[in-house]
Amino acid sequence: MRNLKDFYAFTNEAQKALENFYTSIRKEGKNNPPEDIEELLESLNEHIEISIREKLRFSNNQRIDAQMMLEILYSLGDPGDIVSELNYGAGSKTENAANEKFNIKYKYIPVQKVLCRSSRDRWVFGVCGGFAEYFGVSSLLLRFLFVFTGVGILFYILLGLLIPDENQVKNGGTSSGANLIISIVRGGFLFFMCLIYIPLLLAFFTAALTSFTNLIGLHTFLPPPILGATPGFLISGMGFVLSFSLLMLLLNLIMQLHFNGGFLKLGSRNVYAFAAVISLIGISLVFANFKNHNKILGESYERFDFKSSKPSITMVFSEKQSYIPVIEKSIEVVGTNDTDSISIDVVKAAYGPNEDTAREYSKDLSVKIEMAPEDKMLFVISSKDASRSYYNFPKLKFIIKIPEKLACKIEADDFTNNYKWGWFAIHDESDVSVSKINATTEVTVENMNMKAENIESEKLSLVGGNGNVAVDNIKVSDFTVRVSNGNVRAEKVESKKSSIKTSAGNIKAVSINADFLKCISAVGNISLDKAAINNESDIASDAGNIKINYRELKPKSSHKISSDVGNIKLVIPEGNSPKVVTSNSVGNTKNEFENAKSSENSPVLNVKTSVGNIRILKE
Amino acid sequence: MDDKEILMKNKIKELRKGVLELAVLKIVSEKERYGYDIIEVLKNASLTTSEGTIYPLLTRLKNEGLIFYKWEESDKGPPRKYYTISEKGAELMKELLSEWNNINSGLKRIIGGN
Repeated sequence: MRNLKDFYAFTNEAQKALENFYTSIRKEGKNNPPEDIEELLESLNEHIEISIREKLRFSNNQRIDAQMMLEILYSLGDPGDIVSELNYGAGSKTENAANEKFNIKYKYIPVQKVLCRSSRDRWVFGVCGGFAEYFGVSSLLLRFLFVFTGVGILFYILLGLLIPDENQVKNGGTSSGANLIISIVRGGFLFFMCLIYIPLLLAFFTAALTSFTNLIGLHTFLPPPILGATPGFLISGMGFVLSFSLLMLLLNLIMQLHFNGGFLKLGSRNVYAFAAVISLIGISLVFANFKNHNKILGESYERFDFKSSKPSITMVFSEKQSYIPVIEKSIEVVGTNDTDSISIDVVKAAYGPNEDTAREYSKDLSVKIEMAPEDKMLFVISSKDASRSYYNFPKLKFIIKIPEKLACKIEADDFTNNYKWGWFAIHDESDVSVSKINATTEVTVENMNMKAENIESEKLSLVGGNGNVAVDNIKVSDFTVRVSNGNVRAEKVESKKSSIKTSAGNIKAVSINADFLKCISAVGNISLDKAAINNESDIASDAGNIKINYRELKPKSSHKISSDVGNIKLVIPEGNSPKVVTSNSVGNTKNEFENAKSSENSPVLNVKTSVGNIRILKE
Repeated sequence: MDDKEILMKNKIKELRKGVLELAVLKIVSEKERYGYDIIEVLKNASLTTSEGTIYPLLTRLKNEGLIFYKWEESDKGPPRKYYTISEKGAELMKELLSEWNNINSGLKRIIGGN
């Protein structure tokens, strides 16, 4: 006979109770044939083992305690009654050869536990108790987790509906009123799932397909309103659908494994493998999509090419009339390492109404490019399709921020006619140089030299940290140079308003023509040659010499030249008789116009230095 | 438990005992079953209270050559004795069944009162 205590853990009381039971059977049956008693004991032993296993399946306790054992023995009945049954109405004993002698080697098979709602450890549905018994963890802890994570309560209700009741499982699923209710609830749930799940799944696949076509560039061949558009709600919906479908798959799998079929009745596990692969592909597509569209707002609409998936691109558009792009915010291209080239096709719709309507809707466009230090990078922003030339950006503005030690060159071609659109390229060269840009241009660099040449535009702004700036042949209404540490050299500058500032460095300008000019150096010399200032100028250095050769001083113009510490030398061309005011605390003054006749229309020169000589000379 | 209750319990036990053998024969005649399984069927039919008495009954029926058993392994627990009805048992069961029907109809006539 199999000794149960070799396979199961008993408490002392439980073991004693079992031993007493067997001893009583033997004692009661001392007048019966011993082989009958042995056979009876063998059968009872088998019964007790099966009972023990049944109890262990639904319990988190692996040890058989006295209560458990007494429950089993009580249901078996009194040993005296059991043995007396052997003798009841006994007929003659006949030998039957068909009875098989025991010849199977005993082996221990672990108890297979069942996940169900506990009937013992139950507060509401018994879900936490069931999990606690199944996994051998604290049910109180689980209750806290369910209650304190807001979604947990929903999960709890869902699990309560899906996980069967302990008593129902024990009774082998015999039909009862409760079962009917559960089956109705499950049917309703399945219906609900069909209503919500299938459309969401379709939405998910549409969105995933869009991402995929965007990734491989297929959308170029497809009309944008169908696949180019990825409304924000689809993308946000995808996350929900994905997590939901994975959760459902998991729950269904549990149902399949434990209760002969989940609510989806999908059958083989291959279905799950397939669904999991599809979901994973979907997730990776969504991630790829999210990585490249980290911000898509509201009724936004975007369309772009990129050869590399590395950069992150933020584009915000909104559509007010069919297929007319209205660009309201900026496009930001942030390049990252190991990117060879990025091509952005900003214009999105392939067709639209007439040019006037389109112009009315278009607004300023600003492109901001931020690059990471690396060897080579090429940005191309272009409008390739002639049919898209309706889209006109009246004030095109490029802001290029280039980090330290990046050697590059910025170029843009002429923006002909109304189509203020062109291309931009940053190449591997020693300095930053800007040329041939016919639009508002702002260049910001750090710790590198800048060069701007042949520029004709509304605005040119060069902002640098440590590095020199060179400007040649520019015709810009609003011209600004600002450098922290570096010299500025400007040639052939024609502007309405020019402002050149450097914190530490010399400023040298040849042929500068401006209505308003401001040249300021904190520490450094300022030298202007062939300067023509029409209205007003302010030339100042805190510590440094100032030398100006004027080409022309317009009547009524006013000029302020000042240095805290430094000499000032001005050369005035012939035929001018300016009104000169000088002041210096320490130093000599030589003014050749001291006694010159001046009129109301004469240009005014206000020259001032604290420490230094002043010389104002006729040419 | 008072005397009346004990008496009542014993009478019920006696009543059931007679038909229990017939019930077990019928159960094992349908398909091979092991002891615990037989008890489950009887329990669902509310025919037994003390589960332990089914095993000596099975031993007795086996000794009388009405049923026999063979051992079978189980992947869910210990090996079990599967009981089947013998030819002799099947014949006896047939006769017992018709006898039971006689008793039943006779009893009905008496209890029915008409």
